[in-house]
Amino acid sequence: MEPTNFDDFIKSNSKNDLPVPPELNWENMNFTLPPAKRKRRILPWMLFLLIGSLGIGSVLWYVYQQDINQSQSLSKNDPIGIQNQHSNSIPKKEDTFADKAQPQAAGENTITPNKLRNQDTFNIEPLNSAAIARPQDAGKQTVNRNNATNQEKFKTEPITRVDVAPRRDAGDNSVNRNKVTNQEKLKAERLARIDNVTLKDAGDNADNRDNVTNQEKLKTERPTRTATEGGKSIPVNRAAKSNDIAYTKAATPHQNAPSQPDSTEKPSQTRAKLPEPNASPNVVPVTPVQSTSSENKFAASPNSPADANIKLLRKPVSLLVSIGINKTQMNHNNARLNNAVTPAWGNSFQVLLERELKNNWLFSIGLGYQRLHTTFYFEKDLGKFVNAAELVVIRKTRQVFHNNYFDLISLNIGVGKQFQFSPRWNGQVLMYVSPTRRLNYTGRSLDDSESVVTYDPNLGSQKKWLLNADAAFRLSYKLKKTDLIMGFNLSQSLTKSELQSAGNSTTTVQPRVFGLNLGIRRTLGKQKK
Amino acid sequence: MVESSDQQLIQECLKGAQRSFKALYEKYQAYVYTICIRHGVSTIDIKDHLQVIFMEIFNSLSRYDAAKAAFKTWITRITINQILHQKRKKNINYNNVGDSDDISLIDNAFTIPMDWDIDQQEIYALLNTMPVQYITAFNLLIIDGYSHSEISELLNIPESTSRVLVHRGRIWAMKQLRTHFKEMVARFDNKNKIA
Repeated sequence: MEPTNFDDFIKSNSKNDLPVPPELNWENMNFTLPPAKRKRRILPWMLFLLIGSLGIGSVLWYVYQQDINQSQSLSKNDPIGIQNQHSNSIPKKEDTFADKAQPQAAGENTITPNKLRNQDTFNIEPLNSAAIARPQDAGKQTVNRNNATNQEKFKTEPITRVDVAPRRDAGDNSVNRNKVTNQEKLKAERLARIDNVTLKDAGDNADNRDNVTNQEKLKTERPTRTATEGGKSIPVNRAAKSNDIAYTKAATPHQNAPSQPDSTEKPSQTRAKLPEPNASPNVVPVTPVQSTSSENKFAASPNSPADANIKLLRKPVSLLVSIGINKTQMNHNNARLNNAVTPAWGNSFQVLLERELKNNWLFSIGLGYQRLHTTFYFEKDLGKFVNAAELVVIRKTRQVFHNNYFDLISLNIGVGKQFQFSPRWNGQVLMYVSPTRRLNYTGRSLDDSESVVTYDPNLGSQKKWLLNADAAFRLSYKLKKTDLIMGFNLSQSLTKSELQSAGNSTTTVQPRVFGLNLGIRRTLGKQKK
Repeated sequence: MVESSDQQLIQECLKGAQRSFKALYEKYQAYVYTICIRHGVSTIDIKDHLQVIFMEIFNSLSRYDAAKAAFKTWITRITINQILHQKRKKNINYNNVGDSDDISLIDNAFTIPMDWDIDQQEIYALLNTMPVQYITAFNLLIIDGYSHSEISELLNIPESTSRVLVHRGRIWAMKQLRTHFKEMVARFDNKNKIA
């Protein structure tokens, strides 16, 4: 038999399928099908991440700008602030201030740097506060100058039940002013002005004190507090510096009394007010309005919906601690300042709390400290030199190098995604939005006359806040209980920061930082298995 | 019930429809089972093999390209790859071509009639008595249509070895078939004599 015939015989007898025994039927098999694989749509997620980051960033930017605008408007309208900044070194500004103050002060503007120091002792005469009042308060100054008289009226007028609370406050103010300790003096340096104005306002409202209608209005307004200064609202962050003192002073009912026609209170600057412990029986205790939203969450019963939030918090949270080094491009606005070709190394420290979300997403929040070290140089002109032998004129320059140091602390809020390369190796890509506060800076810059000046942080800076956008990539190696982390990050400041240097020359910087980090990550609590 | 086309079943399987996968299994269950039996998978292991093969089919459905091959061809490839994968675990030495004594006693004068109506299962039973290295190469070349070069790649053997294995497998099968045919003829003659 030929092989081809044999092959054909075998093929012809192998065409059909064999009958399958019943034990191989579908019902007897044990197929556990995996769920359908979802396509990994990285692009939409990246877009979502980008849009989300931009959204968060824009909100923070908006809040930041609002804060800056308020601070600037306040500083413009705050003669004491201007005087304080420039009285030592910039007489021109002082003159400008005097010009502004003269119309209403009418020769009483005798404020000098020494007088400002006198404010620390709280012995400023009421007329001084009138003298430093803003131009728009001019109409009230006739009243303010009679503050002493008004105070006397306070004491001599018969006390009615309705008047108990305001009068007690007014009395407290006067007593507290005398009891301010030396330690509090420094803290309340700026508050002193508020005190003065408060007294002034107390005098303004003395005539309305018996007005029951005003008291009723007061009850409705007290839940929210606005730190006011002579009818002018103060940003909350500024008032917060003096903490409880500022609170009690500024929250006196006189400022909220409706008798002040030029009150420019902004509802956005209000804060929840604590109930007064010694409130008059006739004055209805004020229920805090804004305290309910945050406090009730913590006071929720175990069976309340808030309990679900507590359960969510029990999911594993990782603590990441890292140290690193960084290089910075400061991006000066001064064209003569050049970054050194090889930037110097700075250092950084970071503590983050990270929580895993669904689908390998990650939420990260924490604090970071960075010490940026930059080296810049500028061309110093050494003049022209004539080489008589060769009959040429040589212009000599010298490159002058200077080191600058910037200490920054930032709040890092970010999201990211982690990828598993192997059972032990993981990668993470995160994007952060980081409001950053500049703590300190040392170094030099060029002033308007292009001479080297030293930064003087004590002279103050208009912008100490930066908003940074960070992108970070991390590689982690899993050990038994901890992960070793290594990675790099790129941080770009979205805002320019002004550096107030001596000589009134302002240099702005917009740092871009590249950092390398090493750290460890440890999961807090029990991990799900 | 209208039978769904393979492409429809595949699309539904990709969406995670278990009912479609059941239909696919029932459609190709006998085909895969036949390949397994032909390649010498024992009845004890056949259930596990089917399980593994169909899970592999399900997991690879997203990679199936209808433009490159028919679905049945694609299933055949997966099935054979899985069978060979299981055989590799048994460390079969395909380079051991066996003794030439096994094929020495061949009566070339005897010819199997082409119209012999032999049961397919009987043929597979005879083939499965073949040494395991022979049957794999024999099935791959003669029934499954692989070339020697493909067989050498699949079994990781030289092409010449593949030729030897197939040749010896073929002779082994012919010998077994002749023996079986002679026995059948002898039994038929005995029946006639008794009758």
